[in-house]
Amino acid sequence: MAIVTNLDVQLAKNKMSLTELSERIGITIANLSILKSGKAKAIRFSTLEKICKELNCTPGDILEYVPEEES
Amino acid sequence: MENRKLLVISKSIINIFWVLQILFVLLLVVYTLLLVFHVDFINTDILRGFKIHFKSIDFIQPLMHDGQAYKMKLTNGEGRLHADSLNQNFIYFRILAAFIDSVMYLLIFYFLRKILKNLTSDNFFIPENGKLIKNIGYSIIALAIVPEVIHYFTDKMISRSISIENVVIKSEFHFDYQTILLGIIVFVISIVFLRGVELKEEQDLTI
Repeated sequence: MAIVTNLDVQLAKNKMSLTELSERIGITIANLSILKSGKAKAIRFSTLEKICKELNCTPGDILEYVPEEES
Repeated sequence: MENRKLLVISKSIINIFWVLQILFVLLLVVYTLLLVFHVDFINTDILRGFKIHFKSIDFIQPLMHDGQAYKMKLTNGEGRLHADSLNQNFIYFRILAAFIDSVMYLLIFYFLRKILKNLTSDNFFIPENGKLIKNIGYSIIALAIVPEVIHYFTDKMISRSISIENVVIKSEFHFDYQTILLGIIVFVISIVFLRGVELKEEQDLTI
């Protein structure tokens, strides 16, 4: 997928663990891991809002567009 | 809870059909072996006979009623033709058609059993179920076409090589449109189901 998530970078910047974030925003670690590993197919605005609020960032800091190389 | 009960009942019924079908295939194999090897301890002549469809059978003797003679005939029926010292190789084509028929049923029961196994372990919308439903669709269509094609060619051979006075043997292709339609319906359902699986996966991976 051409969209990559930089959730781990933002977590490191805020010195927060995935478990802590999951407790704060009320989303299971399993789901956050899917998001972190890039397996997610979509993200709800409400989830994005909660993550941005807790990590003090914008959606652009979490999501990034990296064009895929054509084989 | 109600659905779970239905699932268990369906599973039991399919399991019974599955065992009966396996027994039928085994019987068919035994029957064929008896005919091929002409075993002594069983009078295989009573087994020798093959199914034919007839257009009409004219009765030579007229029916007498109130002093009047009525000409009679039978039309559009089927029966088993037994004849001594007649090359009855047609019977093997009939057995082949029955064998293909049974194998298709076995396949359908096999796929159904797998689906029911998945359903009872709470795996509903998984790609495997979609593929199994699709395979059932293909099997039903094959079930409607393949044995009928064999029957058609056997009927043709029988009607060409055997001529019985007053009897017209039928050799027409029987297009089983009901079964084909059923197969197509199952096939379409499988496509809808597979799309449902895709949507479920997407939903599951939406955070």
